[in-house]
Amino acid sequence: MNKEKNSEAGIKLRGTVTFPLFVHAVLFLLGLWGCLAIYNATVYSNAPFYFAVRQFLWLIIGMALMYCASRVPFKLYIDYTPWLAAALFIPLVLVLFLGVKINGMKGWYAFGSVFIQPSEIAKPFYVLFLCWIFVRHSKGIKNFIFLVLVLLVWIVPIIFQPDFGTLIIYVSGMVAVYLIGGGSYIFLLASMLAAAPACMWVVHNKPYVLMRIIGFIDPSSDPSGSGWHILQFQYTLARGGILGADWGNCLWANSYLPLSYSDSAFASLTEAVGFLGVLPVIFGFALFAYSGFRLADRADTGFKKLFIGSMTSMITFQAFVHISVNVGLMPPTGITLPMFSYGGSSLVSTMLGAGIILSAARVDLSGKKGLAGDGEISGDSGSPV
Amino acid sequence: MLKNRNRIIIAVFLLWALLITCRLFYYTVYSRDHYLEEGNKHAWRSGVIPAARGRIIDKNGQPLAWTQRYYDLVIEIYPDLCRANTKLIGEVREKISGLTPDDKREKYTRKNLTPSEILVLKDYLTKYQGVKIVPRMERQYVDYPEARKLVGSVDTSEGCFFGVKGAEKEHEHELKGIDGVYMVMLDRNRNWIPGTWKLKTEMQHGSDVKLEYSLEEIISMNKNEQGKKL
Repeated sequence: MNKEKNSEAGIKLRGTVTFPLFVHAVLFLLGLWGCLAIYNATVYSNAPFYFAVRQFLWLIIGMALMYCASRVPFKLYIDYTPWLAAALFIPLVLVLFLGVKINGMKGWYAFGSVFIQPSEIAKPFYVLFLCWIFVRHSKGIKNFIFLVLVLLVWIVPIIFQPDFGTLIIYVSGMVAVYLIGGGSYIFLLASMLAAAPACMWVVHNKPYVLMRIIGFIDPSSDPSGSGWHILQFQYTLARGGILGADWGNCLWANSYLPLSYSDSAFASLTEAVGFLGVLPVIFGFALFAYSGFRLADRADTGFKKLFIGSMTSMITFQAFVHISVNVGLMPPTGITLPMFSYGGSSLVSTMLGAGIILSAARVDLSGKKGLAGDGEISGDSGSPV
Repeated sequence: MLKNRNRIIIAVFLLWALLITCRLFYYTVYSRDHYLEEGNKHAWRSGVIPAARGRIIDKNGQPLAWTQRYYDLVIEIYPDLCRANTKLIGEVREKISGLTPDDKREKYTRKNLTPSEILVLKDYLTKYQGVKIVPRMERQYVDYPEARKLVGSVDTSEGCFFGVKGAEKEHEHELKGIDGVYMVMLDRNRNWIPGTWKLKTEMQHGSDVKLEYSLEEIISMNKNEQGKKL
């Protein structure tokens, strides 16, 4: 009886609000908060409503897509995973030839004034594909190698764009799938060591990467060059103080902070609403992670558990990397803040991912588990799920 | 309850959130004053609004010395933008005449722009960082050498005049006035940020100084003096 109730309305929170409704409401409010933050970061420009209104339209589209994605039975996603992955991977390759270059990166399709970034849209389906691969192969080195191969194939076009911020997120997705699936720490550590020479090669051959690291370590050594972004983060946060500098009065976000509506969205929001105003954002993402993992635990199949946990981890990881960069804990990476930063592709991708999570969270009562129930993954507890 | 692996990941995220919060607290509360001061030091610039030096007039009110404002066009050349520079200079030369380079060809100047020439250049000011219209004050004197001797002369320091001879030196205090001081925020390209301009000290023009003699008297006095010498 209880199971039946769950399948129809999702998981009940305190007996009154269903979880899907809660997720829809929270994501919509976060998106709305993001629109206001974008308006605030562009209020001094010639068209202060331009970015905010566009973002709001994307939010509406994202809400509709999230609802549709959550209504599709998760079994369908599993059955069509390879096709979905291929359908999203091909545009990722084609963008290198047909795409437009923005900020030195060839990663967008331009349809008039609308720009679509395939590497963003593909994220949920990339995680889905990794999970699909993971549950199909037995544990051990073979499983790990397959995941690494999938990762390498997906990141090649991203490297050629080049978009190293998105690259980090894709790597985090693979690590999340492998860790949550119960993979070996030793393989992960060994692969990190093996990747070290490649990282050194990147640092050596891409001077701007090295400059960013130097600027991060000692920003005052080159205040108008490599240290500029880090210093502006510091000054913007300081201006925010405890309660913020009022809406529409964010001088630093509008004048000094580079990309204040995308890569520096968190710092620009801090200037407006201060320390107390952004605390809910940090703990909101932590709560999102906690809720995601609770949901993963309650899912009825291994595949669902793996997908929900991995997708949640990837979104939270992206948010925390963005915030860490903005508070000076990490060098600038160009990673946006999900739901807050300007960009339709990023917003739609996050909401699509949330929609598929909601679809996976529904209990399947058909009794035909298929692949959804076949994948045996286990945590350290050792209990097969 | 969460599975062990999931618990570890959640714990990592919670610790991360805590670390971010501490760091945020450091910038927004604990060391706020230091970073605000540093930021303001980089962003705010002060400037002087030179007070117009007062006139020296004869006893009939005829001006013997006065200050006139001129506007000069200055184009700074960026060495790494060779082609763009050539194009810009060519275009400006088509619109106004008399644009001359300095010795090193790092700067082109055209003095005393007319209002119509300023209007022609309006678009270039917003389009190119190196194009500027710089106001300049010049001290003008009545065209009688006899009067010049009594009126004296001025020198300039940082765009401001100070009297070095004659009445200009004698009445320095009244003529000088008080320079205004403003503060403004500059963006990364050193352009003013709209809405940030603040007046710190009000500017007061110098007062006019009236001499005891008329221009004719000054001239005749001079002639008499020369006659006696001869």
